[in-house]
Amino acid sequence: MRARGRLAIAAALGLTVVAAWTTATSGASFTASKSNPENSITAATSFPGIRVASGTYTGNGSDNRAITGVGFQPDVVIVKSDDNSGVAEIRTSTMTGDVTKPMSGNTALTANLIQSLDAGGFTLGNDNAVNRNGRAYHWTAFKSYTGHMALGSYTGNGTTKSITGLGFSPEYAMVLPAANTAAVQRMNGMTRTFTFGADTGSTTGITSLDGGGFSVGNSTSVNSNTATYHYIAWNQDVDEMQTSLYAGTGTSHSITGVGFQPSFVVVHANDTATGRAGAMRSSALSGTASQLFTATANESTGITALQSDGFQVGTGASVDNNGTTYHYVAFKDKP
Amino acid sequence: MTRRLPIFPAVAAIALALADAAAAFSTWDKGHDAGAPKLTLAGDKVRLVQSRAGQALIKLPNAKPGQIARGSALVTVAGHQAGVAVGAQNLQDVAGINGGKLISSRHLWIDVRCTGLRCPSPPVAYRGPLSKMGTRSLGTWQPGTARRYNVRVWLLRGARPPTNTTGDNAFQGSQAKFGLMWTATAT
Repeated sequence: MRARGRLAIAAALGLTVVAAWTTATSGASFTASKSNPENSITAATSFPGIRVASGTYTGNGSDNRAITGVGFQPDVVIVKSDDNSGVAEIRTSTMTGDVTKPMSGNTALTANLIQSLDAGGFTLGNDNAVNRNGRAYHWTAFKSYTGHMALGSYTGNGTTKSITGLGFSPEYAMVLPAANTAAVQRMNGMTRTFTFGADTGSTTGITSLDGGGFSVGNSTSVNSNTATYHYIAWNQDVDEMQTSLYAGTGTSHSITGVGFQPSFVVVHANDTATGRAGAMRSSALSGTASQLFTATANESTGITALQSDGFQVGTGASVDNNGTTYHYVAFKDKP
Repeated sequence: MTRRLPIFPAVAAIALALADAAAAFSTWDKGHDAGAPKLTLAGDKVRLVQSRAGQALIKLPNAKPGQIARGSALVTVAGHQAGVAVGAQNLQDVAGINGGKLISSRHLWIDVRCTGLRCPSPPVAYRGPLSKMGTRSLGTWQPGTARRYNVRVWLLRGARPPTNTTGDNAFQGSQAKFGLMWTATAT
Protein backbone atom coordinates (compact mmCIF):
# COMPACT_ATOMS: atom_id res chain seq x y z
CA MET A 1 0.00 0.00 0.00
CA ARG A 2 2.80 2.37 0.87
CA ALA A 3 4.59 1.48 -2.33
CA ARG A 4 1.44 2.18 -4.39
CA GLY A 5 1.18 5.62 -2.82
CA ARG A 6 4.75 6.49 -3.67
CA LEU A 7 4.22 5.25 -7.19
CA ALA A 8 1.13 7.43 -7.57
CA ILE A 9 3.00 10.50 -6.35
CA ALA A 10 5.91 9.76 -8.65
CA ALA A 11 3.54 9.38 -11.57
CA ALA A 12 1.83 12.66 -10.74
CA LEU A 13 5.17 14.40 -10.52
CA GLY A 14 6.21 12.92 -13.80
CA LEU A 15 3.05 14.11 -15.49
CA THR A 16 3.57 17.56 -14.07
CA VAL A 17 7.11 17.75 -15.38
CA VAL A 18 6.08 16.41 -18.80
CA ALA A 19 3.25 18.93 -18.99
CA ALA A 20 5.55 21.78 -18.05
CA TRP A 21 8.15 20.63 -20.55
CA THR A 22 5.56 20.34 -23.29
CA THR A 23 4.25 23.80 -22.62
CA ALA A 24 7.70 25.30 -22.56
CA THR A 25 8.86 23.71 -25.77
CA SER A 26 5.67 23.92 -27.79
CA GLY A 27 6.35 27.60 -28.34
CA ALA A 28 2.67 28.36 -28.60
CA SER A 29 2.86 30.99 -25.98
CA PHE A 30 6.46 32.23 -26.44
CA THR A 31 7.41 35.13 -28.61
CA ALA A 32 10.69 36.94 -28.90
CA SER A 33 10.94 40.38 -30.38
CA LYS A 34 13.32 43.18 -31.16
CA SER A 35 12.55 46.65 -32.33
CA ASN A 36 14.14 49.51 -34.21
CA PRO A 37 12.53 52.51 -32.60
CA GLU A 38 12.63 56.18 -33.53
CA ASN A 39 13.15 55.84 -37.22
CA SER A 40 12.58 59.21 -38.82
CA ILE A 41 12.58 60.94 -42.13
CA THR A 42 12.29 64.68 -42.38
CA ALA A 43 11.52 66.41 -45.63
CA ALA A 44 13.63 69.36 -46.69
CA THR A 45 12.03 72.75 -46.25
CA SER A 46 12.67 73.41 -49.92
CA PHE A 47 12.76 70.76 -52.61
CA PRO A 48 15.57 71.05 -55.14
CA GLY A 49 15.41 70.80 -58.87
CA ILE A 50 17.57 71.63 -61.82
CA ARG A 51 20.55 73.86 -61.27
CA VAL A 52 21.10 76.85 -63.48
CA ALA A 53 24.12 79.10 -63.23
CA SER A 54 25.45 81.82 -65.47
CA GLY A 55 28.60 83.81 -65.68
CA THR A 56 30.98 85.74 -67.82
CA TYR A 57 34.66 85.63 -68.70
CA THR A 58 37.10 87.36 -70.98
CA GLY A 59 38.83 85.20 -73.55
CA ASN A 60 42.61 84.77 -73.38
CA GLY A 61 43.27 82.60 -76.41
CA SER A 62 44.81 79.84 -74.30
CA ASP A 63 43.90 76.24 -74.89
CA ASN A 64 42.68 74.04 -72.01
CA ARG A 65 41.40 77.00 -70.05
CA ALA A 66 39.37 76.05 -67.01
CA ILE A 67 36.30 78.06 -66.12
CA THR A 68 35.50 77.49 -62.46
CA GLY A 69 33.01 78.75 -59.94
CA VAL A 70 29.93 77.22 -61.55
CA GLY A 71 29.03 75.65 -58.23
CA PHE A 72 28.24 72.18 -59.56
CA GLN A 73 29.37 69.80 -62.27
CA PRO A 74 27.27 70.83 -65.23
CA ASP A 75 25.42 68.50 -67.53
CA VAL A 76 24.97 71.23 -70.10
CA VAL A 77 26.98 74.34 -70.87
CA ILE A 78 26.11 77.02 -73.42
CA VAL A 79 28.73 79.63 -74.33
CA LYS A 80 28.19 82.65 -76.55
CA SER A 81 30.49 85.53 -77.29
CA ASP A 82 29.17 89.02 -76.79
CA ASP A 83 30.30 89.90 -80.29
CA ASN A 84 30.22 88.07 -83.58
CA SER A 85 33.16 85.78 -82.83
CA GLY A 86 31.01 82.71 -83.21
CA VAL A 87 27.63 81.10 -82.80
CA ALA A 88 26.39 79.84 -79.45
CA GLU A 89 28.05 76.56 -78.52
CA ILE A 90 26.57 73.77 -76.44
CA ARG A 91 28.05 70.72 -74.81
CA THR A 92 26.20 68.03 -72.90
CA SER A 93 27.36 65.32 -70.53
CA THR A 94 26.37 62.71 -73.12
CA MET A 95 29.05 63.95 -75.51
CA THR A 96 32.40 62.25 -75.12
CA GLY A 97 35.82 63.54 -75.99
CA ASP A 98 36.68 67.04 -77.11
CA VAL A 99 33.44 67.83 -78.92
CA THR A 100 30.86 70.61 -78.81
CA LYS A 101 27.81 71.31 -80.91
CA PRO A 102 27.47 74.70 -82.59
CA MET A 103 23.86 75.69 -81.98
CA SER A 104 23.35 77.59 -85.21
CA GLY A 105 24.16 76.40 -88.70
CA ASN A 106 24.84 72.92 -90.04
CA THR A 107 28.07 72.13 -88.27
CA ALA A 108 28.96 68.75 -86.83
CA LEU A 109 30.34 68.24 -83.33
CA THR A 110 33.52 70.24 -83.23
CA ALA A 111 36.72 70.13 -81.20
CA ASN A 112 38.50 72.97 -79.42
CA LEU A 113 35.36 74.61 -78.06
CA ILE A 114 33.94 73.37 -74.72
CA GLN A 115 36.42 70.57 -74.22
CA SER A 116 35.05 69.02 -71.07
CA LEU A 117 32.52 69.42 -68.27
CA ASP A 118 34.28 69.31 -64.95
CA ALA A 119 33.57 69.31 -61.26
CA GLY A 120 32.64 72.91 -60.58
CA GLY A 121 33.03 74.14 -64.13
CA PHE A 122 34.19 73.39 -67.65
CA THR A 123 37.27 73.61 -69.84
CA LEU A 124 37.65 75.62 -73.02
CA GLY A 125 39.76 75.29 -76.09
CA ASN A 126 41.05 78.35 -77.88
CA ASP A 127 38.59 78.56 -80.75
CA ASN A 128 37.39 82.11 -81.31
CA ALA A 129 33.81 81.07 -80.63
CA VAL A 130 34.63 80.46 -76.98
CA ASN A 131 38.02 81.94 -76.12
CA ARG A 132 39.22 84.72 -78.36
CA ASN A 133 41.75 86.88 -76.62
CA GLY A 134 40.21 89.98 -75.09
CA ARG A 135 36.61 89.19 -76.04
CA ALA A 136 33.75 88.86 -73.59
CA TYR A 137 31.75 85.64 -73.30
CA HIS A 138 28.69 84.61 -71.36
CA TRP A 139 27.95 81.10 -70.28
CA THR A 140 24.99 79.28 -68.81
CA ALA A 141 25.29 75.88 -67.13
CA PHE A 142 22.63 73.34 -66.18
CA LYS A 143 22.70 70.39 -63.88
CA SER A 144 19.95 67.87 -64.39
CA TYR A 145 17.64 66.56 -61.70
CA THR A 146 15.74 63.33 -62.05
CA GLY A 147 12.19 63.90 -63.12
CA HIS A 148 12.90 67.50 -64.03
CA MET A 149 15.52 67.34 -66.73
CA ALA A 150 16.93 64.46 -68.73
CA LEU A 151 19.77 63.97 -71.16
CA GLY A 152 20.47 61.13 -73.50
CA SER A 153 21.39 60.08 -76.98
CA TYR A 154 19.90 57.85 -79.62
CA THR A 155 20.64 56.45 -83.04
CA GLY A 156 18.43 57.48 -85.92
CA ASN A 157 16.51 55.05 -88.10
CA GLY A 158 15.63 57.35 -90.98
CA THR A 159 11.89 57.04 -90.55
CA THR A 160 10.12 57.94 -87.32
CA LYS A 161 11.12 57.26 -83.79
CA SER A 162 9.91 57.76 -80.23
CA ILE A 163 12.36 58.56 -77.47
CA THR A 164 10.90 57.13 -74.26
CA GLY A 165 11.83 56.47 -70.67
CA LEU A 166 12.41 60.03 -69.58
CA GLY A 167 10.11 59.55 -66.61
CA PHE A 168 8.20 62.71 -67.30
CA SER A 169 6.38 64.49 -70.07
CA PRO A 170 8.74 67.15 -71.36
CA GLU A 171 7.64 70.65 -72.20
CA TYR A 172 10.88 71.54 -73.89
CA ALA A 173 13.31 69.42 -75.86
CA MET A 174 16.51 70.04 -77.80
CA VAL A 175 18.05 67.60 -80.25
CA LEU A 176 21.72 68.07 -81.06
CA PRO A 177 22.92 66.04 -84.05
CA ALA A 178 26.45 64.73 -83.98
CA ALA A 179 26.66 65.17 -87.73
CA ASN A 180 26.57 68.34 -89.77
CA THR A 181 22.87 69.07 -89.49
CA ALA A 182 21.24 71.80 -87.44
CA ALA A 183 20.46 71.57 -83.75
CA VAL A 184 16.73 71.97 -83.16
CA GLN A 185 14.28 72.67 -80.36
CA ARG A 186 10.60 72.36 -79.65
CA MET A 187 8.66 74.07 -76.89
CA ASN A 188 5.26 72.96 -75.73
CA GLY A 189 2.61 74.50 -77.98
CA MET A 190 4.89 75.16 -80.93
CA THR A 191 3.41 74.03 -84.21
CA ARG A 192 6.78 73.10 -85.65
CA THR A 193 10.31 72.28 -84.66
CA PHE A 194 12.69 75.19 -85.00
CA THR A 195 16.41 75.58 -85.18
CA PHE A 196 18.12 78.10 -82.92
CA GLY A 197 18.82 80.29 -85.90
CA ALA A 198 16.40 82.04 -88.23
CA ASP A 199 14.09 79.49 -89.83
CA THR A 200 10.44 78.85 -90.44
CA GLY A 201 10.32 75.48 -88.77
CA SER A 202 10.07 71.85 -89.77
CA THR A 203 7.19 69.40 -89.53
CA THR A 204 9.51 66.39 -89.58
CA GLY A 205 11.72 67.34 -86.65
CA ILE A 206 10.55 66.81 -83.08
CA THR A 207 7.01 65.94 -84.07
CA SER A 208 5.52 65.74 -80.57
CA LEU A 209 6.29 66.01 -76.88
CA ASP A 210 4.87 62.82 -75.39
CA GLY A 211 3.97 61.24 -72.08
CA GLY A 212 7.38 59.82 -71.34
CA GLY A 213 9.55 61.43 -73.97
CA PHE A 214 9.21 62.79 -77.48
CA SER A 215 8.87 61.65 -81.06
CA VAL A 216 10.91 62.58 -84.08
CA GLY A 217 10.21 62.49 -87.79
CA ASN A 218 12.73 61.86 -90.53
CA SER A 219 14.39 65.27 -90.66
CA THR A 220 18.15 64.92 -90.84
CA SER A 221 18.31 67.19 -87.80
CA VAL A 222 16.69 64.52 -85.69
CA ASN A 223 16.66 61.15 -87.42
CA SER A 224 19.06 60.20 -90.17
CA ASN A 225 19.56 56.48 -90.36
CA THR A 226 22.45 55.32 -88.12
CA ALA A 227 23.29 58.90 -87.13
CA THR A 228 23.87 59.84 -83.50
CA TYR A 229 21.76 62.44 -81.75
CA HIS A 230 22.05 63.95 -78.30
CA TYR A 231 19.02 65.34 -76.59
CA ILE A 232 18.01 67.37 -73.57
CA ALA A 233 14.46 67.47 -72.24
CA TRP A 234 12.97 69.57 -69.47
CA ASN A 235 9.85 69.12 -67.43
CA GLN A 236 7.83 72.18 -66.61
CA ASP A 237 7.77 72.88 -62.90
CA VAL A 238 6.00 75.55 -60.94
CA ASP A 239 9.12 77.14 -59.57
CA GLU A 240 11.98 76.19 -61.86
CA MET A 241 10.88 75.91 -65.47
CA GLN A 242 8.00 77.51 -67.29
CA THR A 243 7.16 77.56 -70.97
CA SER A 244 4.42 79.55 -72.60
CA LEU A 245 3.77 81.98 -75.43
CA TYR A 246 3.01 85.62 -76.04
CA ALA A 247 2.03 87.79 -78.94
CA GLY A 248 4.51 90.28 -80.30
CA THR A 249 3.33 93.86 -80.23
CA GLY A 250 6.21 95.76 -81.71
CA THR A 251 6.53 97.77 -78.52
CA SER A 252 8.55 96.95 -75.46
CA HIS A 253 6.51 95.08 -72.89
CA SER A 254 6.76 92.65 -70.01
CA ILE A 255 5.87 88.99 -70.19
CA THR A 256 4.44 88.05 -66.82
CA GLY A 257 2.93 84.98 -65.21
CA VAL A 258 6.13 82.97 -65.28
CA GLY A 259 5.82 82.48 -61.54
CA PHE A 260 9.41 83.26 -60.62
CA GLN A 261 12.31 85.49 -61.63
CA PRO A 262 14.12 83.53 -64.30
CA SER A 263 17.84 82.82 -64.32
CA PHE A 264 17.79 82.10 -68.05
CA VAL A 265 15.25 82.66 -70.81
CA VAL A 266 15.10 81.33 -74.37
CA VAL A 267 12.68 82.85 -76.91
CA HIS A 268 11.89 81.68 -80.41
CA ALA A 269 9.19 82.81 -82.79
CA ASN A 270 6.63 80.26 -83.88
CA ASP A 271 6.70 81.90 -87.28
CA THR A 272 6.26 79.63 -90.27
CA ALA A 273 6.54 82.44 -92.78
CA THR A 274 9.48 84.54 -91.69
CA GLY A 275 12.64 83.16 -90.16
CA ARG A 276 13.52 84.78 -86.85
CA ALA A 277 16.58 83.80 -84.85
CA GLY A 278 16.21 82.52 -81.34
CA ALA A 279 17.23 84.76 -78.45
CA MET A 280 18.48 84.12 -74.95
CA ARG A 281 19.36 86.05 -71.86
CA SER A 282 20.96 84.89 -68.67
CA SER A 283 21.13 86.64 -65.34
CA ALA A 284 24.80 87.32 -66.01
CA LEU A 285 24.00 89.80 -68.76
CA SER A 286 23.65 93.38 -67.69
CA GLY A 287 21.68 96.34 -68.92
CA THR A 288 19.33 95.60 -71.78
CA ALA A 289 21.66 93.12 -73.49
CA SER A 290 20.58 89.74 -74.76
CA GLN A 291 22.07 87.29 -77.19
CA LEU A 292 21.12 85.52 -80.36
CA PHE A 293 22.29 81.97 -81.02
CA THR A 294 23.77 83.08 -84.34
CA ALA A 295 27.19 84.69 -84.79
CA THR A 296 25.80 88.08 -83.99
CA ALA A 297 26.80 90.68 -81.43
CA ASN A 298 24.59 91.18 -78.39
CA GLU A 299 21.45 93.12 -79.12
CA SER A 300 19.80 95.70 -76.91
CA THR A 301 16.23 95.33 -78.16
CA GLY A 302 15.79 91.63 -77.46
CA ILE A 303 15.15 90.28 -73.97
CA THR A 304 15.90 93.51 -72.18
CA ALA A 305 15.40 92.43 -68.56
CA LEU A 306 14.67 89.46 -66.31
CA GLN A 307 11.95 90.46 -63.88
CA SER A 308 10.35 89.13 -60.73
CA ASP A 309 7.53 87.33 -62.54
CA GLY A 310 8.94 87.04 -66.01
CA PHE A 311 10.96 89.15 -68.41
CA GLN A 312 10.79 92.16 -70.62
CA VAL A 313 11.17 92.24 -74.39
CA GLY A 314 12.25 95.14 -76.54
CA THR A 315 11.20 95.75 -80.10
CA GLY A 316 13.64 93.42 -81.84
CA ALA A 317 12.20 91.09 -84.45
CA SER A 318 13.66 88.09 -82.64
CA VAL A 319 11.34 88.67 -79.69
CA ASP A 320 8.62 91.21 -80.45
CA ASN A 321 7.47 91.60 -84.04
CA ASN A 322 3.93 92.85 -84.08
CA GLY A 323 1.53 90.01 -84.74
CA THR A 324 4.08 87.23 -84.40
CA THR A 325 3.63 84.52 -81.80
CA TYR A 326 6.66 83.81 -79.65
CA HIS A 327 7.29 80.89 -77.36
CA TYR A 328 9.60 81.08 -74.42
CA VAL A 329 11.20 78.87 -71.83
CA ALA A 330 12.22 80.37 -68.51
CA PHE A 331 14.51 78.56 -66.09
CA LYS A 332 15.30 79.22 -62.47
CA ASP A 333 18.07 77.79 -60.37
CA LYS A 334 16.62 75.49 -57.72
CA PRO A 335 19.43 74.36 -55.43
CA MET B 1 -4.21 3.61 10.07
CA THR B 2 -2.54 6.78 9.09
CA ARG B 3 -0.04 6.69 6.28
CA ARG B 4 2.56 9.47 6.03
CA LEU B 5 3.65 10.56 2.57
CA PRO B 6 7.39 10.52 2.02
CA ILE B 7 9.01 13.97 2.04
CA PHE B 8 11.44 13.35 -0.83
CA PRO B 9 8.98 13.54 -3.78
CA ALA B 10 7.47 16.76 -2.45
CA VAL B 11 10.86 18.38 -2.06
CA ALA B 12 11.83 17.22 -5.55
CA ALA B 13 8.69 18.76 -7.04
CA ILE B 14 9.33 22.08 -5.34
CA ALA B 15 12.95 22.02 -6.48
CA LEU B 16 11.89 21.33 -10.04
CA ALA B 17 9.40 24.19 -9.98
CA LEU B 18 11.97 26.59 -8.56
CA ALA B 19 14.55 25.50 -11.12
CA ASP B 20 12.11 26.08 -13.94
CA ALA B 21 11.22 29.48 -12.60
CA ALA B 22 14.87 30.36 -12.20
CA ALA B 23 15.62 29.24 -15.72
CA ALA B 24 12.79 31.37 -17.07
CA PHE B 25 13.92 34.36 -15.05
CA SER B 26 17.53 33.98 -16.10
CA THR B 27 16.61 34.01 -19.77
CA TRP B 28 14.59 37.20 -19.61
CA ASP B 29 15.86 39.12 -22.65
CA LYS B 30 17.62 42.17 -21.37
CA GLY B 31 17.92 43.54 -24.91
CA HIS B 32 14.20 44.18 -25.10
CA ASP B 33 12.74 47.64 -25.22
CA ALA B 34 11.77 48.82 -21.82
CA GLY B 35 8.37 49.81 -23.13
CA ALA B 36 7.42 46.41 -24.44
CA PRO B 37 9.25 43.67 -22.62
CA LYS B 38 8.92 40.15 -23.95
CA LEU B 39 9.96 36.83 -22.59
CA THR B 40 12.64 35.04 -24.52
CA LEU B 41 13.52 31.52 -23.68
CA ALA B 42 17.05 30.26 -23.91
CA GLY B 43 18.37 27.00 -25.16
CA ASP B 44 15.71 25.13 -27.05
CA LYS B 45 13.21 27.97 -26.70
CA VAL B 46 12.85 30.58 -29.46
CA ARG B 47 15.29 33.46 -29.48
CA LEU B 48 15.45 36.40 -31.84
CA VAL B 49 18.66 38.31 -32.46
CA GLN B 50 18.71 41.45 -34.53
CA SER B 51 21.94 43.25 -35.33
CA ARG B 52 20.48 46.74 -34.88
CA ALA B 53 18.09 46.06 -32.02
CA GLY B 54 17.19 49.13 -30.05
CA GLN B 55 18.56 51.46 -32.72
CA ALA B 56 16.92 53.31 -35.57
CA LEU B 57 17.44 51.83 -39.00
CA ILE B 58 16.30 54.92 -40.83
CA LYS B 59 17.39 58.47 -40.09
CA LEU B 60 17.18 60.90 -42.96
CA PRO B 61 17.00 64.65 -42.50
CA ASN B 62 16.57 67.10 -45.35
CA ALA B 63 14.93 64.48 -47.56
CA LYS B 64 13.85 65.30 -51.10
CA PRO B 65 11.11 63.61 -53.10
CA GLY B 66 12.44 60.41 -54.53
CA GLN B 67 15.43 60.34 -52.23
CA ILE B 68 15.81 56.97 -50.54
CA ALA B 69 16.85 56.35 -46.94
CA ARG B 70 18.41 52.93 -46.40
CA GLY B 71 18.94 50.68 -43.41
CA SER B 72 19.89 47.06 -42.93
CA ALA B 73 19.75 44.50 -40.15
CA LEU B 74 20.68 40.85 -39.74
CA VAL B 75 17.86 38.87 -38.18
CA THR B 76 18.58 35.51 -36.59
CA VAL B 77 16.25 32.97 -35.02
CA ALA B 78 17.64 30.40 -32.62
CA GLY B 79 16.43 27.71 -30.29
CA HIS B 80 13.18 26.78 -31.97
CA GLN B 81 11.36 26.93 -35.25
CA ALA B 82 9.46 30.19 -35.38
CA GLY B 83 7.11 32.27 -37.41
CA VAL B 84 8.86 35.58 -38.03
CA ALA B 85 7.20 38.89 -38.79
CA VAL B 86 8.01 42.53 -39.06
CA GLY B 87 5.59 45.34 -38.36
CA ALA B 88 5.46 49.10 -38.37
CA GLN B 89 4.41 50.68 -35.11
CA ASN B 90 4.14 54.01 -33.36
CA LEU B 91 3.54 55.91 -36.59
CA GLN B 92 3.74 59.65 -36.02
CA ASP B 93 3.18 62.47 -38.49
CA VAL B 94 4.47 65.98 -37.92
CA ALA B 95 3.14 68.37 -40.54
CA GLY B 96 5.54 70.75 -42.20
CA ILE B 97 5.20 74.40 -43.10
CA ASN B 98 2.66 73.65 -45.82
CA GLY B 99 0.59 71.22 -43.77
CA GLY B 100 1.37 67.97 -45.54
CA LYS B 101 1.53 64.76 -43.50
CA LEU B 102 3.77 62.15 -45.00
CA ILE B 103 2.35 58.99 -43.46
CA SER B 104 -1.36 59.63 -43.41
CA SER B 105 -1.28 60.94 -46.97
CA ARG B 106 0.47 57.73 -48.02
CA HIS B 107 3.30 59.86 -49.38
CA LEU B 108 5.93 57.91 -47.46
CA TRP B 109 6.72 54.47 -48.81
CA ILE B 110 8.70 51.64 -47.38
CA ASP B 111 10.33 48.60 -48.92
CA VAL B 112 11.39 45.74 -46.66
CA ARG B 113 13.14 42.90 -48.38
CA CYS B 114 15.51 40.05 -47.69
CA THR B 115 18.84 40.23 -49.39
CA GLY B 116 21.42 37.51 -49.89
CA LEU B 117 21.39 33.86 -50.80
CA ARG B 118 19.18 32.51 -48.03
CA CYS B 119 16.06 34.50 -48.76
CA PRO B 120 12.53 33.24 -49.07
CA SER B 121 10.79 33.60 -52.38
CA PRO B 122 9.66 36.26 -52.99
CA PRO B 123 12.19 38.19 -50.91
CA VAL B 124 10.04 41.31 -50.64
CA ALA B 125 8.18 41.38 -47.34
CA TYR B 126 6.39 44.62 -48.09
CA ARG B 127 6.56 47.50 -50.51
CA GLY B 128 4.01 50.26 -50.28
CA PRO B 129 2.79 53.12 -48.14
CA LEU B 130 4.13 52.96 -44.60
CA SER B 131 0.63 53.62 -43.32
CA LYS B 132 -0.58 50.35 -44.83
CA MET B 133 2.28 48.15 -43.76
CA GLY B 134 0.89 46.76 -40.52
CA THR B 135 2.60 43.47 -39.66
CA ARG B 136 4.02 41.35 -42.42
CA SER B 137 4.99 37.69 -42.19
CA LEU B 138 8.54 36.77 -43.08
CA GLY B 139 7.68 33.09 -43.05
CA THR B 140 8.63 30.20 -40.79
CA TRP B 141 12.29 29.97 -39.94
CA GLN B 142 14.21 26.96 -38.71
CA PRO B 143 16.41 27.53 -35.68
CA GLY B 144 19.74 28.92 -36.76
CA THR B 145 18.33 30.80 -39.73
CA ALA B 146 19.92 34.19 -40.29
CA ARG B 147 18.68 36.59 -42.93
CA ARG B 148 19.62 40.13 -43.77
CA TYR B 149 16.81 42.57 -44.39
CA ASN B 150 17.19 45.86 -46.19
CA VAL B 151 14.74 48.62 -45.37
CA ARG B 152 14.28 51.53 -47.72
CA VAL B 153 12.03 54.49 -47.08
CA TRP B 154 11.34 57.38 -49.40
CA LEU B 155 9.07 60.30 -50.13
CA LEU B 156 7.09 59.72 -53.26
CA ARG B 157 7.87 62.03 -56.11
CA GLY B 158 4.62 63.37 -57.45
CA ALA B 159 3.69 65.13 -60.61
CA ARG B 160 4.47 68.75 -61.20
CA PRO B 161 3.21 70.70 -58.18
CA PRO B 162 0.39 73.09 -59.08
CA THR B 163 1.64 75.72 -56.66
CA ASN B 164 4.47 76.40 -54.26
CA THR B 165 2.48 74.95 -51.37
CA THR B 166 0.63 72.02 -52.93
CA GLY B 167 1.58 68.76 -54.59
CA ASP B 168 5.00 67.60 -53.44
CA ASN B 169 5.60 71.05 -52.00
CA ALA B 170 2.91 70.42 -49.39
CA PHE B 171 5.35 68.10 -47.63
CA GLN B 172 8.23 70.52 -47.27
CA GLY B 173 9.52 70.30 -43.71
CA SER B 174 7.19 67.44 -42.77
CA GLN B 175 8.49 64.70 -40.51
CA ALA B 176 7.53 61.08 -40.04
CA LYS B 177 8.55 58.83 -37.16
CA PHE B 178 7.96 55.13 -36.81
CA GLY B 179 9.23 51.97 -35.22
CA LEU B 180 9.85 48.56 -36.71
CA MET B 181 9.08 45.51 -34.56
CA TRP B 182 10.56 42.13 -35.48
CA THR B 183 8.95 39.16 -33.80
CA ALA B 184 9.56 35.43 -33.71
CA THR B 185 6.82 33.20 -32.38
CA ALA B 186 7.68 29.58 -31.68
CA THR B 187 5.71 27.14 -33.75
